[in-house]
Amino acid sequence: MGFAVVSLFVFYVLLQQGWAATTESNIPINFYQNYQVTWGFNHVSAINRGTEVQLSLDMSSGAGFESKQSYGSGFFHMNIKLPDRNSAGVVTAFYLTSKGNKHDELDFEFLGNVEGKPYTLQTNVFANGEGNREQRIALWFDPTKDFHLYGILWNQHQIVFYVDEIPIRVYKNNSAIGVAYPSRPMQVEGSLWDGDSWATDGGRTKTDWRYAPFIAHFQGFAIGGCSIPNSMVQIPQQCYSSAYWWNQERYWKLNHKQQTEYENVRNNSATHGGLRVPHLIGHAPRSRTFSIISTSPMAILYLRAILLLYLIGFCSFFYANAVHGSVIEEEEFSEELLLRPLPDRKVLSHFHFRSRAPPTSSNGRHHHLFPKAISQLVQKFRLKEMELSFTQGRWNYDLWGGFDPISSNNAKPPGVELWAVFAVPQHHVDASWKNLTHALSGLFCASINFLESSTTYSAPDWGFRPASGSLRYGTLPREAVCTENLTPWLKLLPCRDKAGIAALLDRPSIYKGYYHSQRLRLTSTEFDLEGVDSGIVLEQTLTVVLQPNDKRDVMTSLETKLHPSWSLTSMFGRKIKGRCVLAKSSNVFLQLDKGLVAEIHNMQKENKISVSDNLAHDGLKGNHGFALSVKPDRVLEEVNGSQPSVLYEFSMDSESFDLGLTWKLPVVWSCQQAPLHASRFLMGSGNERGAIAISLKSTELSRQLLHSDMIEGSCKLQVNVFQVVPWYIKVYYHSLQVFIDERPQAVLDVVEKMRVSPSEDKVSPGVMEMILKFPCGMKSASITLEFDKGFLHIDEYPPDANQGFDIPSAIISYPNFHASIRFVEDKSLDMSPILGKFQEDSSVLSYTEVLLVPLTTPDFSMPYNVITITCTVFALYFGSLLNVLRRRVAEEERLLKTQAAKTGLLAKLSAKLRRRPLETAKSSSSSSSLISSKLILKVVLVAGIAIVWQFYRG
Amino acid sequence: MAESETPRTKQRPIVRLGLFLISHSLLFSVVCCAAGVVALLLLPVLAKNTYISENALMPGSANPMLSGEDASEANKLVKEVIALNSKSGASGIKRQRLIAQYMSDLGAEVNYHKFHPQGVHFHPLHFFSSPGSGTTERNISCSLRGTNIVGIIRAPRGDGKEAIVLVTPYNSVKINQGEAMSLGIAYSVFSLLTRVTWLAKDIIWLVADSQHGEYAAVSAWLRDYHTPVFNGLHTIDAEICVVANNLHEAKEQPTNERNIYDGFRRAGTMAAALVIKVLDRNEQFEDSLSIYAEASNGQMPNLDLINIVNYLAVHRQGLRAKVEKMWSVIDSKWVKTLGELFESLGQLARYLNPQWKFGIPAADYVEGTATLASSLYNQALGVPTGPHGAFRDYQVDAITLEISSRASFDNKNSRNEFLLRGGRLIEGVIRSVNNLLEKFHQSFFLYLLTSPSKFVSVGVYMIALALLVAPLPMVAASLYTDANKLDSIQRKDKPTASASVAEECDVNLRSWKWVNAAKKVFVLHSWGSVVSLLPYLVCQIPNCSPTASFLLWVLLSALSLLIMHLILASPFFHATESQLHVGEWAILKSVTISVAFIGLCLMSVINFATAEIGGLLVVPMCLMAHPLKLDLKVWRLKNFLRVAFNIVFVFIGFPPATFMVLKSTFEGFNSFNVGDFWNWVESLWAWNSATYLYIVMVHLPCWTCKSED
Repeated sequence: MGFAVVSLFVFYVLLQQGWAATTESNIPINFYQNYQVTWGFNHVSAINRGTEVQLSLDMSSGAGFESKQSYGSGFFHMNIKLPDRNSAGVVTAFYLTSKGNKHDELDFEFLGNVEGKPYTLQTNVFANGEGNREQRIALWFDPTKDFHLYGILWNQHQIVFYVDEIPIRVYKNNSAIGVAYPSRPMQVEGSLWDGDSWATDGGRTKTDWRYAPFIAHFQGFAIGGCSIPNSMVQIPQQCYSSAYWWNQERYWKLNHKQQTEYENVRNNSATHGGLRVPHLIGHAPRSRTFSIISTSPMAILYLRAILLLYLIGFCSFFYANAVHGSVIEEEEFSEELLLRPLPDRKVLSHFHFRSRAPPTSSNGRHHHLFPKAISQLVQKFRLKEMELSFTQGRWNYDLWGGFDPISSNNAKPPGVELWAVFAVPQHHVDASWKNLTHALSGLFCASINFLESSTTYSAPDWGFRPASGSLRYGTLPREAVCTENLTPWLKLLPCRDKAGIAALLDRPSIYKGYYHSQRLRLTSTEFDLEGVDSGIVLEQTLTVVLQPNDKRDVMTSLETKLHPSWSLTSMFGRKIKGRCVLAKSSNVFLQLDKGLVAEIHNMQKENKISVSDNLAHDGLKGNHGFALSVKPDRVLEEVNGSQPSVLYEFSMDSESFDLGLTWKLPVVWSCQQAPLHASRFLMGSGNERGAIAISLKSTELSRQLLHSDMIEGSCKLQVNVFQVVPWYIKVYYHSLQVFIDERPQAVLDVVEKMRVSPSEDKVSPGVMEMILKFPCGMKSASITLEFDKGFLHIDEYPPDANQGFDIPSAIISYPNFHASIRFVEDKSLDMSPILGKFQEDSSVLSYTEVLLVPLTTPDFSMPYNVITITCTVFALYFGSLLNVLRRRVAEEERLLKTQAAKTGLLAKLSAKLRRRPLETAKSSSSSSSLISSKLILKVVLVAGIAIVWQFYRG
Repeated sequence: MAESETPRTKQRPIVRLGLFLISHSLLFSVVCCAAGVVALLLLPVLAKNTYISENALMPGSANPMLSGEDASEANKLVKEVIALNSKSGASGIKRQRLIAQYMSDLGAEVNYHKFHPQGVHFHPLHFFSSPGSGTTERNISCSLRGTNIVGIIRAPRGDGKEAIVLVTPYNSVKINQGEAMSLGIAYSVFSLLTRVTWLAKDIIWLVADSQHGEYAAVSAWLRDYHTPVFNGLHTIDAEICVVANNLHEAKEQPTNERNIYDGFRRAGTMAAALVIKVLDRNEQFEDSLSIYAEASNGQMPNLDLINIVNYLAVHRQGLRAKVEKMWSVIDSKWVKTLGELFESLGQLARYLNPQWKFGIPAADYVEGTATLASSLYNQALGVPTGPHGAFRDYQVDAITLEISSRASFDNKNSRNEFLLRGGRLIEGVIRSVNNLLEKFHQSFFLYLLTSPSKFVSVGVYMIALALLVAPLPMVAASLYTDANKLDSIQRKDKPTASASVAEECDVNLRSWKWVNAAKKVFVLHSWGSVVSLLPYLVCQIPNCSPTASFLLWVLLSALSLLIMHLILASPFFHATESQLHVGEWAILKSVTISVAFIGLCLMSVINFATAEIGGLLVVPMCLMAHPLKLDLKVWRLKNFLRVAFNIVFVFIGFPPATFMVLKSTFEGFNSFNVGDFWNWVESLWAWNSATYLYIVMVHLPCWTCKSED
């Protein structure tokens, strides 16, 4: 606003002198050929016949110049040598800017420093009047010693800041997703001015005027741009034509070499001024106006007024920014808590933390709020999307609902579930997945690395979620969840659990809950080819179902079964002691189900209490169903539906917050169910065969559906089933049977589409994806699949083999049903993340139970026996072998003959004992030789020793 | 003496040993059999104390949480349930509704399970097939149906993969005090478990409707749990049985029965099951607990399960743990004498060396023998001793706990106290099983109990059978060689011109002589299988008294034997026709003995106890058998004795006779009826007992062989 006036004014005053200077120079690229001085005329001196210009700054004034024409695109550059010596507080600037309201601007600002300390180069992008995108970088050379080239490439796709042809900052055009992009004609400007109020050390180091004048040298006044007359407000289309070299496709993004240079620069030499306070380092007014000033007192007065206005405008703008923050380019964090009473006297608490990082391409890899570990994960494994959940307990779809966004998104199978989409070529996906599992297992202290083995994960095609081949899905149903996993998860939050809503997370009370699911969801657009880059969004949710302390005295009297009253303190043992200061928004919500709201309405009607009818007007506070201890800041009501669900919003302030709910009357309601109630079980007995059965039972919703759609006739209920079966369960997919209302059906009538990838022993699990279409009138359906139990090799058994083996949950989803709740919304863009999640159209989905299949397991104490037996066998084998090898038959025969000649006394005795003549004994049986005198002697000796030993030792 | 001319080579020791044993088979067999019997009698002495093998179980390490409040709540249920007895009308349904109401008030998921008890139908191909594969009959009357009530508590933080089952059978038509008390115990535990946080496995409480038998109700539920039939039986039921639909009407009450679900609810794989019963009559001395563990075919639950129950009952709740005993053994004199003998032997051993721990007090010995006998008998019978048997078919470890109280249940305080004790016992067991990460596998599956805290493991009791059976192959071998030798001697005596050619021929012939005998034995065994199938035909005849059926069976068997004899060219009398050949029968005997040996060995793998008892009967019979004709020819004392023994053994060996003898010894002669045997056999079919197969396919043919001789 005031800007243009000032510029015009200055322009008008100094017009003629400029022209004079232009005429003076006779070199083709003379300063005055393209530029004109705008202020501080006597501080501008052109030397070398106009090929170099010196701007000087002293107490009285600085100086500035600008291009004569505006430009719509181009590559703008300037060779600059900065003021040397102690230049603290001195700002040298080279920038493009548009005139008028909501201006666009692309800045190079060199912030001087005390002697010996390096210059800081600050770049900034204003688009549509929005700035706040400062980035600071330490230069890798001394800019005061020599001229260096500083350039800005500006086309429709990106804006690149170059230093000596090395890209130091990239700002991508993300206007498609609402990120503003400079789109007005801009003029090239250069200036030197005193910015000691902010420039150096945040304004603490002031300009040392003893070193004045400060002189900056500018060279290279050729402008490669699509020039437009200053009068034009819009950039004509021709400026985007690829006739200009900078509009050509290879300048739409950095080439590989540039990319690496860019990353090097950003990793190595970029410095940030520490943690940035939300209320930006005083981005000082564009103070080239500061010291024009010496000439007319009138002008000074006039200017001051304008300046003041300008300042106020600026500040309020920043303030608004800090509060509402519709700027995506900013790293931001928000914390929210949703509470919901459940029909079975429990309370659902859903913590939702969202961190958002601007795209790396324009903002670099350094983060203030966003967890570095996560952004590194994204960069390293080129993640497009990832979800990791740790769950303990089961979500009760019957009682806690199966049709709302929370149950669809946050009800997870027990144990660990991980899926990720990678932006890497198909043949690299598996490798990336394996590396990712290792990284995550380190990060979250969990055995996620077991998902590395190809037998544990699968690559669903379309059954799990619409994704190309770069999706991998794996679960660990047996993983135990504990604080060990929660602590690293909390470390990702900027305030950890020290402040803000996360401070509620008292470990004993949240692990005492009936359901505990900690989830981490990551979406990044960094690697999207479409060029839409909105950075990384990290959502961390913790869903806990808690039982408020309940005095168990109401057992007998059924009528007065009042729901237990609760408060944050009673449930968590703590209260919120104020918001996390780093959070952009910090809210607590209390949601009342449709059913509950309707029930309360009914009660009010019954009791003939003057129905205010509008629950939304903090009516529930005074209503006789229950009472809240804190007055809500806002009451939101679901947009459509006769029985709207109600949401109370409480904004967190700095003081402590403890929401309590006291029930006054017993209420009975039920949550909305998924169209079908799915459960899965094992059939059969014995260790050989079995069958998996998935049974689907209609719920109220599908009955309603039946009533509404019956007229239309061919109503079909679509159900997707996604099932992964480990390889040791050998599923016979041909044995698929479908029963509807307990009558067998032809499979082809029901199964619309099916994809099966059979398991491969020891290599990959079996995956089954199915689309089923059931008639709407159906009451129940069952799907059965037979399987053989595999026989594992001894080393494939896990340490706890006797526990049995798990079949992970199947995923049943209903693509035609969307779990979204739309609350009355003012049109503002800055919706709270939870509300945003509520509005997302995600299909209703439920997980079935994990199954435990007992397989035949060997007795692992057997090895001892096995060793004994094998040793015996070996001994016998080798003994006899040796015997054969060693034996000399002839010799033995000779010996036998000699022995036969003299029959011993014992032989005779034994023969007598057996009542047989000696001859027959000798001839018929060889056994006589068995009892030789020596042998008996030996036996007696040994026995004697043994007896003596036994007797005396004892 | 062609062989003797060549210098005799010294054979390998093992061969020599074998030859030695064969040549002394008589002595050997007598010694072995005696040793086998002695080893069996020694088993109570050799029994070891039980110990808890699985560390994770940790029974009794936590204090019981069950409070008097739970017990008095349970007491209320007991009173209400009993009170319904006096009311007329559909008290059964009311009672079901009441129990279901109590369950759902606790927050459990409740459903009714309606079933038709499956009748006992013999099917020859049914043995060893998986349970529940039988077809369900359609034409069932509504009166013949029961309704189980199933309550499930989901473990708050568990993953629902495993479950523990509590079963309380009760008669829905008229409940007695004991059944009501068992309901009370289960209820008190159940109500506690809805509140505890340590639960890792789901708890299923099955209130089994035992009006058609406890076992039938439990097995029907298990069948539906594991092998549901998707053939629309339920819808048919709903159409036919209007009366039973009262239950459905009950569901119309909106708020109270909200949790009651008409489908079949399931939890995960079962880890263990406990059947709780309370005895109606009062115990004389102290509160006691009887443990029943035998399932079909002598399968036993893991010893650890019995151990924890025993440990908790004895050391925590002060109950006296018992296992079933054979009372007739306790009273018998000879066992007492034997016990005293062992005791004095033990004293002698201790006198020699104080460290030798051998021998137990005579009283203990008698008790142990009685328990062991009952344990052996029950395992051998292969009929489960309670509803827990149904679980074993699905590889679930289960036992029945029968608790009886000293005090009468009339007093409220004593009732409360009893409920508290019983409840705490069950709680402790559940808590231990709940601790278990893996299924039961650490401890023994093959064992015999001599008292609740003493057992004989497979390694020990195998010895008795091994000793008993060992003579069989030796005797068979010796008979065979003797026969051959005799033959050759006979041949030798005949003067022949072309000796060498005939000799060769003869050797060939001789080596194949056993085929003839084997053929006979095979024919007999196939007759045995025919006999085993005959009851199927007999069953088809309607309205047949057991006695008549039995006689019919015997008649048919005899007929079939005759037919077989005629068709198959009368192999038996072949021997008599040709001159009575001593060698002939010896070979026949050796083949029979080896077949019996194989049969016994196989049976010992399937059901040890059957093999042991069968061995006791068969082995002496096999060894003593000698053709009567031969014996009668030579009239000597030895022969006479042999004949007498043979006749006795043959009489005892005949299965019905065996049954009678055993029955009369244990129960007295007054209940003597031929039909009993039929009933007994019928019960064997019902439980798919392999004992039946053993009897008709191994025992009977052997016996026939013997008696033929």
